[in-house]
Amino acid sequence: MKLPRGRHTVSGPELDARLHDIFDDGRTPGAPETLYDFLREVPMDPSTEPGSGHMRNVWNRLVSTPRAVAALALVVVVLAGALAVTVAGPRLAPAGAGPTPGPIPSRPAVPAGWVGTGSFGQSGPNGLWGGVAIPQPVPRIAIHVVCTGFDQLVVFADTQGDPPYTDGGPYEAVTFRCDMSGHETRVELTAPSGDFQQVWAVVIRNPASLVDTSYVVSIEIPVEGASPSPTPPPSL
Amino acid sequence: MDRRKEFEVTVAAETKMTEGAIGPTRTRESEALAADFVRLIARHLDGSFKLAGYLLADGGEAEDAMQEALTRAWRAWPRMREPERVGPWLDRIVANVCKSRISARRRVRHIVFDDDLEVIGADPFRTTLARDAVGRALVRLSPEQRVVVVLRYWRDMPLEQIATRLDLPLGTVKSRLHYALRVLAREIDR
Repeated sequence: MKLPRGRHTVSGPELDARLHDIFDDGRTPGAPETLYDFLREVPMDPSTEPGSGHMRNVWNRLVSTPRAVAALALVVVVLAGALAVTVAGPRLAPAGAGPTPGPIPSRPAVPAGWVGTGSFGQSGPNGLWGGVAIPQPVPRIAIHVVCTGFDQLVVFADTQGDPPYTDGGPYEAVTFRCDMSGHETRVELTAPSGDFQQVWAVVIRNPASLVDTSYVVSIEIPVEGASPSPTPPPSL
Repeated sequence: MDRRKEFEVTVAAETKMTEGAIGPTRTRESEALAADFVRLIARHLDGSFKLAGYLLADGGEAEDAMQEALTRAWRAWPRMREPERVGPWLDRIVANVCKSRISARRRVRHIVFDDDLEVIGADPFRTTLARDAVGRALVRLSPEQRVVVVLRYWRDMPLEQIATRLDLPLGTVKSRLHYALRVLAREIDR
């Protein structure tokens, strides 16, 4: 396609300068040592040759670190939820029934001594997940949940700040059992080490349920100097 | 001794150590092939990792993508006829792996309800791209547009070279860059 004359000037000096500034190599690292190790191992490992047990190699790599095991466990949980929706959902749904996501519940009130730092929510037929970063990471947070439906909501609080789809843990996880009353449940978490950096959640579908789940997760942090009373964890 | 030199020495030492211990399917020819692969690819590893980091806006995922790309590269290595063009060849594999990963991400719905609370961690690539509105807009471009912008502004490549590297017609590269820059320019006008 030939562009009309003059249209290439869309960038302009300011955009050029800002893009060059973004790509200043001084701010980003080179390849980590693990990658050099991997390169060294690739040609030495016959399982990377075509058609010879590559999956076994992947599995060995996956289970080689505790963090990868945690990530793998999460993937299994998510896949199980997705499978339940895919296999059981259509079978149990009445003919002609379409997705009817309800409204996302209102964010619950923040108790005295705490302050809300973020929230997210979902409503729908699938095992959807969402998440939010904690702007100022802290070692102690409260997860305040309202959910309706018959599914389970697993909330993870992560001390690494990595995206949940690429890595896992170390994190604290809490399971909330939803029901149709839409009651609030609140649990306080303390990081075993470091500060919580983000919170994310996934709905694990109950295959026998025909009802969509709606939830809101509110993250609260203690007001500086306050010593709020602890709350019991929900049933796991 | 810089890291790359040290790495090459280590590779040479390990290759020597493993000689004769790899098994009957390994020949001197395959050992030489492996040694060439490691030596030539290592020179481009830092650059290819950064390319993946800028495309994916995530250092951890860039590392995973590089592992996938290196495995693909090793599998294709016996068919590699131009060792002097390893860099562009590896870049193309990395770009393809990253594009697949970005496309796969879109199948996952991720909704953040608080606009002012974006998911920003300590990752250097994410931080670098997130500190400027133009960088944040860059991450929202299609993978095809993003790779053209990154090669143009990070590698300072002429459009003809980008076209060669990505095996695309020059007009396609111009078009993708034009539309990408138009999106990015809107961020400055806001």
